[in-house]
Amino acid sequence: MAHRVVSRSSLTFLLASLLNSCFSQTILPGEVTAAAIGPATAPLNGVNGGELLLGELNCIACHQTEAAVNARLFPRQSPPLGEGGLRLTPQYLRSFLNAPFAEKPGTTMPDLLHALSGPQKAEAVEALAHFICWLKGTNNSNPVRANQLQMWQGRLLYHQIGCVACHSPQEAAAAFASNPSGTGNATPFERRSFENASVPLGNLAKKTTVPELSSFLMNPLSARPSGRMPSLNLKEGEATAIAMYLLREQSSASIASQSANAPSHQALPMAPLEHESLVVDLEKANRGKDLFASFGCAACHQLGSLAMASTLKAKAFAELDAEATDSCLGATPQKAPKHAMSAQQRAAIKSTLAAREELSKPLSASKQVARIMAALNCFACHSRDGLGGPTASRAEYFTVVGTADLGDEGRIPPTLTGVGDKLRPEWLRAVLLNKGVARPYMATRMPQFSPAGVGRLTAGFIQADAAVSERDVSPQNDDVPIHDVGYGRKLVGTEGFSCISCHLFAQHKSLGIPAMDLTLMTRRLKKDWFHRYLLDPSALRPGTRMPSFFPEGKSVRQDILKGDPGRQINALWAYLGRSKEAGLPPGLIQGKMELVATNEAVIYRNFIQGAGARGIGVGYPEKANIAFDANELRLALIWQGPFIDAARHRNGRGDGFEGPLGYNVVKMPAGAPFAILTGAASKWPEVSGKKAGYQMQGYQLDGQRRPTFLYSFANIGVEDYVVAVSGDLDASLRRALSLQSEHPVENLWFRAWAGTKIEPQRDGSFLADGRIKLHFELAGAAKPAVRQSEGKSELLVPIVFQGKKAALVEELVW
Amino acid sequence: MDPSAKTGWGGGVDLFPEVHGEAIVKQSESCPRPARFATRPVTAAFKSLAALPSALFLQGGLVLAVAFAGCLVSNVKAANQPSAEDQYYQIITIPIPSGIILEAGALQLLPDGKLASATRLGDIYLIEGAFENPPAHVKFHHFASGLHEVLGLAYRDGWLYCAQRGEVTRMKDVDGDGRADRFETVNDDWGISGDYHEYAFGSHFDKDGNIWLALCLTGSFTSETDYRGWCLRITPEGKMLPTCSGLRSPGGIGTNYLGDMFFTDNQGPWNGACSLKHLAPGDFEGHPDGNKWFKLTEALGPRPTTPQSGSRMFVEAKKIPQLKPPAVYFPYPKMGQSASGLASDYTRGKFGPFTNQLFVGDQTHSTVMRVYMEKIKGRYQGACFMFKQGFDSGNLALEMAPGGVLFVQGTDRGCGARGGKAFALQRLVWTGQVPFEVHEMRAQPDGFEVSFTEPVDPATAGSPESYKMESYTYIYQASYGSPEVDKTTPMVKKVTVSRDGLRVRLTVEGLEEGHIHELDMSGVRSGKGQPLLHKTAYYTLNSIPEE
Repeated sequence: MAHRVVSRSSLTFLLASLLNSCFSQTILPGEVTAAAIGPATAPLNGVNGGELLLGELNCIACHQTEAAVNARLFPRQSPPLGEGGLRLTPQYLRSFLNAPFAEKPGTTMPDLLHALSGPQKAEAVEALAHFICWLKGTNNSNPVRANQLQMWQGRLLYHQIGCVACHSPQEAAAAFASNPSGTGNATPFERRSFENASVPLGNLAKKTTVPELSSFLMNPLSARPSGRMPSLNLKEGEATAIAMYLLREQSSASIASQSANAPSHQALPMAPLEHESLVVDLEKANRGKDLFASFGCAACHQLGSLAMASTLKAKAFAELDAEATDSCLGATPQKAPKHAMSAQQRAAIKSTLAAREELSKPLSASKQVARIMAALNCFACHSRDGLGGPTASRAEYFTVVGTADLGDEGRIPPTLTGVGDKLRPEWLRAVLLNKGVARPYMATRMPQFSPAGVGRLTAGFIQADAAVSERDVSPQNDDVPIHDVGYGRKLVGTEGFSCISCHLFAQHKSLGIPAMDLTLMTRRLKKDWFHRYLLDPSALRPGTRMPSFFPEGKSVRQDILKGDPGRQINALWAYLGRSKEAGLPPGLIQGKMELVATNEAVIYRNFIQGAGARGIGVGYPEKANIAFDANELRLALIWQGPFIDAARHRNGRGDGFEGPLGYNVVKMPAGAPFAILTGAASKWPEVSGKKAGYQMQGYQLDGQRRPTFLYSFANIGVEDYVVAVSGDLDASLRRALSLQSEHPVENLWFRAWAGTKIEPQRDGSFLADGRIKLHFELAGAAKPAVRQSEGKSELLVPIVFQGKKAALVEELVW
Repeated sequence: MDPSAKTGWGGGVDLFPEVHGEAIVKQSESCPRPARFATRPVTAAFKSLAALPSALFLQGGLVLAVAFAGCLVSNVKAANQPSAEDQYYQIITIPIPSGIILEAGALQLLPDGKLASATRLGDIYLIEGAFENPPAHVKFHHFASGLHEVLGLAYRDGWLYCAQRGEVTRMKDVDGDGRADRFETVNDDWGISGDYHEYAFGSHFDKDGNIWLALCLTGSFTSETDYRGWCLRITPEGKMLPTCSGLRSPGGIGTNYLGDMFFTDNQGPWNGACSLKHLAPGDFEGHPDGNKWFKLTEALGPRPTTPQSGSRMFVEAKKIPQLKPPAVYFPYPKMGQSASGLASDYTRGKFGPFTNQLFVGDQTHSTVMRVYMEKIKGRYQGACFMFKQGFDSGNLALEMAPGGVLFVQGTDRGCGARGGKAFALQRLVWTGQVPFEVHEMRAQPDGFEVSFTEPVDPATAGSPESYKMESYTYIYQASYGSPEVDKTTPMVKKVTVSRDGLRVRLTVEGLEEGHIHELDMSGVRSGKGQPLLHKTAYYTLNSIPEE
């Protein structure tokens, strides 16, 4: 069985054994320690490693065999060259042909030229390079300029949409995780161990250009037809971003950080490293063409319309002698192609060859599925029957989109155990081939494969899981009385099971987490599975957060359809299948929840946009409103008209900040409201809130529920009382500030405004930024002062203590 | 000892000399007392915006325009079926006037017999007649509004204290109009960034007059502002004492019968399943991200080392002295999916046979679970049992009243619940009949001792065949939750039934330290031939006692 969180202990073991058996040893003397060949080499129980290698190395391209073996081996096709294939740079071609394992550790391509001596080899490499360049032409598309922001996007995409399920991550997961492991004790990033367990990328910066790589990423199936590299449904911009990131060594530009607000940096054009311009010499190219046939390159690599057969002599598959002295299975072949295989891999192939007659028989459906899943590396993301799923270190790269609180179900691709029993065949095909997506919250994208690649997979799932599928005998929709569709709607809504508490519905947000859209269910699921799943969700999806509404088989809603589980589930199914015409479930659409002050003030403490996480909104019946910031201890916002819409915080989990509902919103000066300034030139202090010694102390409501805010700083107590005054058009505010101190305080100022322009008016008031008039009632001869400081116009009001008290009144008219 | 002293507000002691109004309590099941708060009932009628297209103006203050009639479902008839449990414990639903959205919240019984009920929308109601049976004359007095998601209430010296998201506040009705008008910030020495996950649960007063706060992390995974993921104590003087780190997503906080503080934490990162955790100053409760705030305080000594993700709790606890494994796990989803509020039965029998045990809510399953704990090697551990299913909404706040009445207030907003109603206030009362249940379950060096609420049938209870045991634990890891792992099947080798038939001694081969031991007692019958009302026990065996 497979868990939602695939048992980490078994995966750790799997990874460890994989490393031990494949990667920890030097492949060949004198070579760099190479990654073993592809993830296909992971020793998976139930998948014959030798058979898998025979397919992934496409041994039968040279060693001809019967169709049955061919079908069973599901061989990997090599990339075509020339038209349809990738354009490779001459410098890369040369070094790759010269020493494939050094240039691209982990490559499945054998070294065909190893037996040649120095000058001979150089000549062969030269000829093949000219030939291959001739096939596609070296004339490249326009070089692109590096763009820091695109590289940054590419870096995120590469690490989040699934590339690193097969390829090596280039940075520690902690750099990307919106949440997966959270805490910083993830295992230290060991790129080498990732690389050794990954499909190699090789030296891309030397191999290709941004436009080439980008178009490959957009449509990998044309350059790699057997679908080991699937399509991730990239948009053009995304493909370019990833290409630019992977080829970043071609640019001197550094990757922009998300916070960098510098304009995107236009650097020099990005060109392949170790640049070489090659003018095709037709004579050499012709010699290359002959070598391409005689060395057997042509057995694997198609050349588009240029049909060519390999002339390399190779024994038929049936006649292969695994123990022959000069064979491609040997660690040191003389003339035969040399493969970068570990001793275990060689042994696995030998043992498979020893029983090769088995390969003529078709695999059982479940083994066939496991075999294809191993070849396509579906196991990198999905577990099935206890096999596979992301390894612990790779799992850290799987994330949710945004902040959806969905746990591992939101970020780890689902298990495929019993998927043939669960999903309708047409949905299975849609997911594999036609961009069918049910989990938009998951950052990892379901890749798209070629029909050739996965055609058999769909059938295999259905056949392999048939034992349970056959139970799908429940009546179809039509058997449900039309009346019951209405009960289905009620059950889905807040008066029933309230499925919409968590699930999206016809792309409407749920009331809580964004779990899968319910209107997809009947398109995706088999009805029988749906029935069984609802009765006991965790039995079919261990660890799911989906609760059971039928504990011990009894419905928790006895008041609907007499509590009959069968009828209730049928009604749900019938409704979900017709939800378009049957209407939205009750409770889904949440309207505005406007808070209205009638004859008393209304207080609203919440996350208020512009007034902080401890905002205190006050709506006055006169239709003026304020928001006080209890962290910063300042009047933060004033506005007129409607007070606030509470719907955001009173629906679902209430996330996010809500701003004023009305109009004429004025942001009051940020920072500390009071300060002691020792001289006329003293700057207004930058610290505010608790750091500046301010402390919230509460509020006192008057008879009309209007608060007097109480706070303190520097042993001075402040009472801050705002009332609204009806006006001809809109209401204004009158704010009384009273301060108390045991000891008189000198040079204390209240900053009434900080903006761009303050204009004194004839009536003694001040027009601030042309939009709000401030007028003060001060004791004695004190007068407000306007000054320019730090590039701002400030309106400072002196606080003059008379004994232990000081007071002022500020009128705000706007 | 006087158990009532542990309930926070002083049990049966009348602490309120001042009297502002007359209580209108009739047929109470418990302690009618003069009202401290002279309150006035909500008189406004509610109409939904489904009927009226614009804002509604309600008499008497707060006006709420609501377009969501489904939220106000107090008129929907009870959905829940009668069950075998009803014979022993009955749920009584307190009618909520239309217009009031009573999403739990927090509960605090007041000395005058009223029940204070706080809501997620920031209202506090004082409920009169909450004990009445049937609850025909219940009155809701709107005492306060506009507060920020109140998840804790406590009462002392004429002040009602509440835990808002960003501060502990105390309030009082000074002008005597029945509504609080003086709100004082008692303490706000922790951070809040604006993430919905940053809940603050508050306890009643402990025996020293402190309120304990359990602060949720910023999101599921991280602590982004001061003391997120900590337990703090607020002293009677309003000082904040950093107390424990390592909290993730608490669902409730409260004391056991001895006054020791516990909270429930929820399945997620570093929490394989929901659990009940003990809070003693200096404890590290398992989620390491909040440990960054050790830089703000030296009160708890050095910062605990960070546990190894992918390990097991009991393995890491041996390496990290401050790390305290959960006292009781609630296996997911067998017992529940969102552990919430808790209350201890200090009523000495008024709530049935489970004196001194803890009752813990589950929001998703709309249930109340039962917990028996003992101390082994100085630390709490014990077993949980299903207790009562079929509440109307997602149970969040639990409050035990001295007469043996368990109040349960629920909400399902943002987190679906089986109950199906958006909110509910219900009372769980004992019918006087004793169910055949496991009473206590104690670990022994070589097995367990299980006691029962009535004598067992010696033949079935004495046979090892009647018991099946499985053990498992969880991966202690940074990613979300965990499957049950490291499963074993310890064997019940021998059973000895006590002479009075009330206890069995199970000799078990293969006890696993650090594992949950799930004991299925399907075969056991009472002397009257009855099977157990709840046949499964889940014992969290952090330590195996020594001989």
